[in-house]
Amino acid sequence: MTNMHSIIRNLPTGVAGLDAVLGGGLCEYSFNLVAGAPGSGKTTLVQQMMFANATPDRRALYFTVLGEPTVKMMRYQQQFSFFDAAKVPAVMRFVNLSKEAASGQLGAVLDRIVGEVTKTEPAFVAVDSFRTIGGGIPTGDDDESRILVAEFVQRLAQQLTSWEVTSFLLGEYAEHERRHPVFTVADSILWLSEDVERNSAVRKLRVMKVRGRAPMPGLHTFRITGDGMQVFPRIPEQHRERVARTGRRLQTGVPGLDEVMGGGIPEGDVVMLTGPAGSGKTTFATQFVAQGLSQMETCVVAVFEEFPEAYLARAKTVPIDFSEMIAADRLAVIYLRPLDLSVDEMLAEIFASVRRIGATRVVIDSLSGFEIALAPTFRIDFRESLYRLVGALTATGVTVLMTAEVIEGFPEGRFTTERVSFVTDDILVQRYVEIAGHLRKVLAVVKMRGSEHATDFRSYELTSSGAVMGESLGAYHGITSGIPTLAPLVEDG
Amino acid sequence: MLGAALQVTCSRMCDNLREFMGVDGCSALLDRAIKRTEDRHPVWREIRRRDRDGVHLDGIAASVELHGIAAVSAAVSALLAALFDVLARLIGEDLALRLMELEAPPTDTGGGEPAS
Repeated sequence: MTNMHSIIRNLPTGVAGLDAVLGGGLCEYSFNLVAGAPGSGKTTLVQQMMFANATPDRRALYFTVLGEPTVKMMRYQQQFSFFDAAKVPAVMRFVNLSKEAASGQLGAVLDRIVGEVTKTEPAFVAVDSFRTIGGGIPTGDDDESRILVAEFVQRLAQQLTSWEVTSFLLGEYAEHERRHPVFTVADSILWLSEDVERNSAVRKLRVMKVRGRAPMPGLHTFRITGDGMQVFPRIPEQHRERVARTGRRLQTGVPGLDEVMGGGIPEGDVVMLTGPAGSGKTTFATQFVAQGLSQMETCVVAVFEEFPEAYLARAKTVPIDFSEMIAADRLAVIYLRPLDLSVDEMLAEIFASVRRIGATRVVIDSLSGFEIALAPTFRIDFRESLYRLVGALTATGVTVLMTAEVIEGFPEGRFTTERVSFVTDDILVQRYVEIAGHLRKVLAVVKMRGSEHATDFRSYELTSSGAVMGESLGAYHGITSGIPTLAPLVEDG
Repeated sequence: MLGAALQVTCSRMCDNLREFMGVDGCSALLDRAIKRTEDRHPVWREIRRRDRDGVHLDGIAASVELHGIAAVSAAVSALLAALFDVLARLIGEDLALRLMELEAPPTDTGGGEPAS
């Protein structure tokens, strides 16, 4: 006997990133609750999904209840690019239920909804805001109104399911109201919230429940722009297929540095380059990019501390024209300076560029800028954020070079309030030392996983054509103190 | 006959507006549009009727018998123009035109077969 079972079709949400979070998209004919505080983006989210899916053959009914006047809602929502006025009202029809809702008669509300659904036979229905129906939320288990509302929700769900409708109920619910009957009946619950910390506000989405699907757990940040909502899913490293290491060494582009690093950077490694302000971190990173481009590789550079124009102007020291490389889709420079960034948003930006141009080298310049760009709520979890960022990037096989500014002295090697070296394969440290009254720049390889490397300090110069490694300072003592002294020669015999 | 046609036209438009704006929203819009036109078209003072369900324009046909088709037609035209003007400034001309369209909302199921 064949095991016959119903197949639930996935509907695309039309919201970037949300399908992945939902475990593949919206379940067709599902009864969905979109909950959150006023201003959290519920209306925008649902209208974006409905405009994306509604067609002349699969019409949408959008019921507005007590709350924001429909005209005002339309006035604001049509500012979004997804709002297709050509679909109104033939494909996307707005119906006002305020009269029925104000009567307090749930039966009248249900009759009107069912009447309109029967008349239109829509594929999608939204009720905005569901919270206002029935005069609010009953409070106690034995409250008579609670039973009435439960019965209303049950009948509504049955009606909409029978008409093969994918429905969305929008409501201003608080966490403590999760005993409301609609939470029980809903097939999926999307909770929108906003984390406010100091001057920062970060929007977050959580899928609290999806029947028949395995949604992505946790809180996912989202932004609302002129194109509507975009969700940035958390990307656990274990969900990604890792690309095997090749054992190949990448040339750094800094004369003399490959030799110090035992032949170059192992492909697929994560390299951390730390140093004080002005030590040449960006110069090294720029040469790393230029070297890759000269060998027909493609590169992505994420800049946090300067505008792309400034970055490109500074990159004129290398013999390759970065602007031409950008035009040829061999280089992408991502500007990620906005505040209140989430690590997932940054990942999404970098991944999009890596995929678009097939990048093999990624530069993050700098981690210090990245940390500042993050919303405070993510700075607290910077180690975790960085771990996910690096894990997700290296799983794709790209080689990552990150710069970080050192505030404290060399022995600690600290560049943030947290120690983050555990995420790296290789660490290069730059610093200043005073030798014979001159400030000299030196570099040392602190760590290279599974690879031989030079252990002595090497001087380097920043010239008009870039960084060049110099002599070994093996003859000096006390380099880590910043004021080294020439070691006395030990004579034989 | 023409009076009846004008009546149907206005009633359908009011139904459309009432459907998406609700009784209060539609009444507010009608009140404002009539206020802008009634000085030059005093027939609106007779046509407009208000009850617990808001503003109604169901006296158009009767008004034609009293004031003549020319006066009532001009009044209806002025009202439509005023309604469109107000609505267009709120939600844009494209959407205002679509929402004021004088056809009744779809009631047939011809183009709307639910997906299986």
